[in-house]
Amino acid sequence: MSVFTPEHRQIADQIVAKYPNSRSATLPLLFLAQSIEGFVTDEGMREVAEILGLTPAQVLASASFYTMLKKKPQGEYLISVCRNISCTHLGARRVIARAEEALGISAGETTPDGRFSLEAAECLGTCDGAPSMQINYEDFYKVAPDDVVELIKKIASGEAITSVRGETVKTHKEISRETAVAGVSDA
Amino acid sequence: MSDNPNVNVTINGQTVAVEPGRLVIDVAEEMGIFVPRFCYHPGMKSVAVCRMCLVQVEGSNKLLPACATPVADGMNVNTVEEDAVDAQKGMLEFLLINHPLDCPICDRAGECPLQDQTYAHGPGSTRYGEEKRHYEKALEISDLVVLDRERCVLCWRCVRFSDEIAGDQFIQLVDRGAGTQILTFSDEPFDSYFSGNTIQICPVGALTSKPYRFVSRPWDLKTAPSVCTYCSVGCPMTNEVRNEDLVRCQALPNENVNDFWSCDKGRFGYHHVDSDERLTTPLVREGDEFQPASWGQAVERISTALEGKERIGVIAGAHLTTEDAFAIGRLARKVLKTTNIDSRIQDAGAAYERVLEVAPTAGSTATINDLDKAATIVWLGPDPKETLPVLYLRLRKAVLEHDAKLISVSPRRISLDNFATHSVRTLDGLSDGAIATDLGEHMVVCWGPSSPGSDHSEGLDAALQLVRDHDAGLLVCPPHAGSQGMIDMGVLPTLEAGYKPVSEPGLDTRGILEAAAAGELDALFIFGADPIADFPDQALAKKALEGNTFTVVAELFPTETVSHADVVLPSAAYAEREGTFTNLERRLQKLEPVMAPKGTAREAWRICAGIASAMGTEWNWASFSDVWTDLKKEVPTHKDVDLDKLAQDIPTSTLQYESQFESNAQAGDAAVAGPGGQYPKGYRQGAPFQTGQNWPLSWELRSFEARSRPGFVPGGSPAASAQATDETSDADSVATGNSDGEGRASDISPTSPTADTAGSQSDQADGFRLLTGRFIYDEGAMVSKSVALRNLQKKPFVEINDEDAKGLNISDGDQVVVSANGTEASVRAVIADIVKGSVFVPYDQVGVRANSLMDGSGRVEVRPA
Amino acid sequence: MPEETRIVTRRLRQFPDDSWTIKRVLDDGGYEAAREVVTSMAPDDLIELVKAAGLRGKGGAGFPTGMKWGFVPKDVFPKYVVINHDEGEPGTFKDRELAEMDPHQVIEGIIIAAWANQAEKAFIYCRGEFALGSRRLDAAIGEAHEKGFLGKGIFGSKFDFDIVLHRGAGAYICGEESALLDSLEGFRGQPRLRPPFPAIKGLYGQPTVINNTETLSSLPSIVTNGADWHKQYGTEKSPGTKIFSISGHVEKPGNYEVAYGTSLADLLALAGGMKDGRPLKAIIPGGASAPLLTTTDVAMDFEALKEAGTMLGSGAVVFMDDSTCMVRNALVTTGFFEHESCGKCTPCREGTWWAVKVLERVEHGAGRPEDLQLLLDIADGMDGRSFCPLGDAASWALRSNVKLFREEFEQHVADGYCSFEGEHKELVGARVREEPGIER
Ligand SMILES: Cc1cc2nc3c(=O)[nH]c(=O)nc-3n(C[C@H](O)[C@H](O)[C@H](O)COP(=O)(O)O)c2cc1C
Ligand code: SF4
Ligand code: FES
Repeated sequence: MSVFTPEHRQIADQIVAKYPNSRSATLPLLFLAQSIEGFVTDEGMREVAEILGLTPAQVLASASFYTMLKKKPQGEYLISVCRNISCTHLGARRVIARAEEALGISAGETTPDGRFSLEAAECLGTCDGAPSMQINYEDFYKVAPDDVVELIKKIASGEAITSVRGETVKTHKEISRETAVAGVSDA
Repeated sequence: MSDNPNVNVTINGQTVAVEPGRLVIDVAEEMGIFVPRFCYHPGMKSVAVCRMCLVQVEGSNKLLPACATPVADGMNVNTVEEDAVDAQKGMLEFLLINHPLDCPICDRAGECPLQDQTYAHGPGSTRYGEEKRHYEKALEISDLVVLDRERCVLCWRCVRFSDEIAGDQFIQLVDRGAGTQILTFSDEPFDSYFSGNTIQICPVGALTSKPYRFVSRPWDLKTAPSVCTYCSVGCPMTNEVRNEDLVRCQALPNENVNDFWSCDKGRFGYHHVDSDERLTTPLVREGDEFQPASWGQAVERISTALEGKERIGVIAGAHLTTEDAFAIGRLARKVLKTTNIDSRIQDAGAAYERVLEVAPTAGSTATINDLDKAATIVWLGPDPKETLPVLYLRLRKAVLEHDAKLISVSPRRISLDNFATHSVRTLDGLSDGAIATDLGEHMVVCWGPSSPGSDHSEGLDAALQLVRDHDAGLLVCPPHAGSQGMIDMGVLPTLEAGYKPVSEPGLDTRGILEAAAAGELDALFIFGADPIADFPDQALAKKALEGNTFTVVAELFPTETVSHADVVLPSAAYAEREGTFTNLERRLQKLEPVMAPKGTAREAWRICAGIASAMGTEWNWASFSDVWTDLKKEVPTHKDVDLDKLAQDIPTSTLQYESQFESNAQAGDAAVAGPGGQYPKGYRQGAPFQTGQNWPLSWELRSFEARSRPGFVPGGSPAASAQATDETSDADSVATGNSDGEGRASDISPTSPTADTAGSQSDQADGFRLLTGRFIYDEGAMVSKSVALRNLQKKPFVEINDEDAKGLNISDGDQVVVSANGTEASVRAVIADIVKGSVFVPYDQVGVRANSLMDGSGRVEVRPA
Repeated sequence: MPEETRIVTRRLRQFPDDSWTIKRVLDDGGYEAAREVVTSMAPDDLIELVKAAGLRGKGGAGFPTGMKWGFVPKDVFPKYVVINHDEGEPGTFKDRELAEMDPHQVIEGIIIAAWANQAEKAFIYCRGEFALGSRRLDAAIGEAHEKGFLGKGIFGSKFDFDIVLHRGAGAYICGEESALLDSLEGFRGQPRLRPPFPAIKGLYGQPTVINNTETLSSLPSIVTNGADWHKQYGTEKSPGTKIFSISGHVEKPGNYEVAYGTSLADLLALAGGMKDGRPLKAIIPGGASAPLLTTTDVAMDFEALKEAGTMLGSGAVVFMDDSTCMVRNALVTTGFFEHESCGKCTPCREGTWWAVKVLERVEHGAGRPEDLQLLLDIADGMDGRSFCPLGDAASWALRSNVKLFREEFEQHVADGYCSFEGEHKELVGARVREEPGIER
């Protein structure tokens, strides 16, 4: 049973068509695979390789290089707390610690129920909102330890949440798909 | 390059004049200054990742990597002052913090650049107290290669080789930063015919050879240079022996032949030499028993049996040396007085002598290096990746690096079609129309007998026509290591030694076998051949040998053919003897013995001399050079061969390498195999790097000192390649921007070449035309007795065209029955790109011997099982 | 009270509610500069104009943009423009705001650059984590298409031109232009060996111009107002304005556009001064790569900062007050470089890994006296010996932390704990990274 449905195949063709050289579609197609299975599986890489006429090893070489392409099962909500300079100096470590406590996992892990993943991220380019974080790549500014706990509660209770910029937070699969099709008209 | 004026460079105070554009690391090397390195390898593009070769260059505020810095006029380089040495020490310390330092159990210890350089000037003790990186040790990434990521220094050599040289991207860099590692994909093996090269170029013990693992220490090895016996490319190889066992073979570099590479068959196919099945003493038949005999008795038996006999046939296999070929021809013509002599078995029927219609020699007029200068290369032959593996690498290089346009002509899809500009699917050799648009100047035409059992004339006709019409260079590609030598020495019914046409030709292989089968032959001599296994008509071969013709067989192994002999003579294996092979570009290269022959086994030339003397003609041959004295006298084309020029240097020990490193002593001229960083001094300078001679010299080719010969393109290479570039950059061509300077020439997105099925008329009425061809790993006597390769064979199968399959409602993967003259084989069907009306069966896979399906008609029936 | 000089940031500050919509942009006179060059200016004249204006790259290297364009061969086609929108230098968030709030200005800049270099296609390499920015760029490209500013015969001319939006996938090194190209071609994002330079052989081996988002956003105003107008701002060698991303212990962190040469003190004032009026301890003037400063008495232009032994880099300014532990600062900074090292070259790969291990030990109070020298030696081992500037940068940051605040490191070693956390307190959330290496 294959990862890409005919519909996905069609999107894949549109993505490939963006570029003068099909290999450029490697990352977008891996995001597409991630949007289907939640992370990049061996099967996913095999199919991407087959679509692009590469060996699976070549696809693995690229896939394993990038942090947004997950090699392990991910939670529906990926909480990325910035651990870089400005955020750390303004208290990011305590935010991370509280999030770990609240989720009962440590950074880099996923909760057993598959709802949440937590990671300590490098600079997210939101230092003006330090300590800042992203949930599935939507921004949250000036995050106090308690705020994380709040947000986690909300998400857990199925409540929709919006970022500091007013964007609604999507699921990890949804945002992976959006990333895959960026720049593809009507997809 | 040569037309640019030289530039003056100063390195550590010495000034030299060299071609501009050459790399500092090479120039220094030629001056005897060894710049330490891990990632640099002269056979591949520089990547400058290990940073071990940093040197001071006057005027630069940073240290520069010698491996990626071209020389410029007035450049002043220093490799030994504080900054440079500091950097080298620092880099070693960095490389060692995560290295397991498990030298005591590492194959590479003793020939390990990391070890050598650490002794030379690494830190005495480590300042790294933390936990090292850990990976699961010793991953078996293929049947031949073992990977230990903890030892890896991430020089990328293996990955670059697989991308750049072989095009088998199965081993890659994975993860990033401090977690970067070399890895294959999940459970997919490192499935490449060339994987062994990565072991040889790995500068540490990260990639090791499964067959050689824990077998020996370099200092316990006795090593001699030799030449691979498998195919007509003739890659120079080392033979390395540990107390009388052949335990390792490695490629020796020759920029004319194999660059630095060999295929895995050549590298791992050595176990047959030490096989217990080897014949070690002469045997003579008593009733239906064989009795061991002395050479005297055996030869005696032959001479008596031959008294008054005239109807004699001689068949020689093509794994024998040039000297053997000379001796066999001499024995047949002068002593046995017969013209029934042939050396073509799998390639029976290939009319090599017809090459004389267009050239002074019945062999190549172009060299392998000429492929790099060609604007257009036409391939009319078998799948080179299977039969002439390293020639495949050279063709790939010509296309991807030198922008040659490749036209691949074959009745079925072959490896070349992955990067060919045009693929022509045809049976009739070539329908000129199909490629007329592509025929450029500066063409090299490659022809080799492709399908055992056919007479190969279509391909040959086409090749000769192209040579005439475009005054192209010709690369004749006979199958085996000894084939060209046999042709040169007249082991053919039609030619005498030196290409002298025979007035009335004797019987060829088929004729001889038919005569024997019909009882019209008194005696049959077979040297190093197994017609029952190899001749494309097994039934005939069996009949011939089962008859009561008096049969003498000289062989390595008790083959089926041997079992029918009256006298069996054990021959010496290539590692046990001195000799020369003449490769497909007619380059003579020398084999040196590294071990004594098993039992009383002998070279074929000695056997011939023995028989001759028993029959009353003394040749007085005691040594290799005695043979050559006569050879030069009797074979005009070879009268000027200079044996000294043939000598290959014995590889130098790593110890010398180490001391060079410490003292920057003069690097030896030797061609050094193996250990990572090493390669022959002055690679780009040529001379020491070129061994062997193309022989005989013909028209504008050939001068062994000259590094780059004019070849068949009189001085025209720049123009030629320019023209090639723009010609090839059209839509369906493969030379797109991909072959940029970034070492990525290999990842051409697969273009589907314009397949033209000219002349493919389907006449299923009387079955299918049977096409066959050898695969790299088959049932051949030597491969099949080499344990490392034993299990790498493909299962037998039959390739059939889509439409034909539909007609028989066969679908891909079905079991089907292929039958001819009463023989049946049940094999898996593979729907393939092959001309209608033909099917393809591998020639010699375990389970199915295609020659049992051949009766000369060349046709078979196919039906669902 | 110092003032900003808002040119590139004018529209987005003036119309914060809809500065990214085509309607607002057209009402505001957007795309006129692009229309003008495409319909009535010779490419070479345009390159001359940018040269004359003295525009310098704003992605970090500060290379003169016009000169870079000048290297592109005229007779080789196709040519490409690549937009470096991978903003990842710690402390930098200017490109993000430009793309989110004024994507049409970016696109207009791209069209101008494409015309100057006669490129048929542009690729925006948009950092993977920038979801909103990507949405806004995507929408803006769509709008520009509808208006005929992109696609076949733009602005009614014969010039066909298109923009492809491409998302990164999480790797700081892909901001380095040659690594970016490899990444855009689908490979691991690792720097290329040069030469050949991208201008000659870049994307797909074709001539390629790579510019930063802010650089391109500066083009429309230069075309509209001319070279002399541009040169009236800033210094002789660094003309024009620069957006500085100010963060850390300040009252009003954010992007501030000022003329080059403005003093660091004025920048601090613009950002509302130090948070809660605490004393200033250290400043990162140009992103994590830049050596530290301890004074605000320096002019913010390429030359002056070089003088001061540091660099302007991407214009990321981080102010740190006296509550800051510099060992931690060194660890966080070096940890970043370790995490983002591509692993290609030995010094950067092994050096950052080693330094992090030592720094972690020191911060946790398990340091040894000799560790300080070791850290400096590791820095020397990377500096000038790495394949690309990432490894060099890691060494500069590390060295300046250890050198400028040596006694603080010695304190940690001597006390056996971090006094900023309080005596023998276990460090909260101090474990900064997962170990590298994958299962198999
Ligand atoms: C490690 C490293 C990271 C970089 N990151 C960025 C970046 O995020 N954005 C950017 O525009 N330039 C970055 N650069 C600079 C680019 O290599 C390049 O100089 C710049 O994009 C050129 O555009 P410009 O001339 O308009 O500044 C980085 C350079 C290095 C060495
Ligand atoms: S290519 Fe031929 S000669 Fe070379 S190693 Fe392989 S089999 Fe031997
Ligand atoms: S960097 Fe020159 S040999 Fe590795």
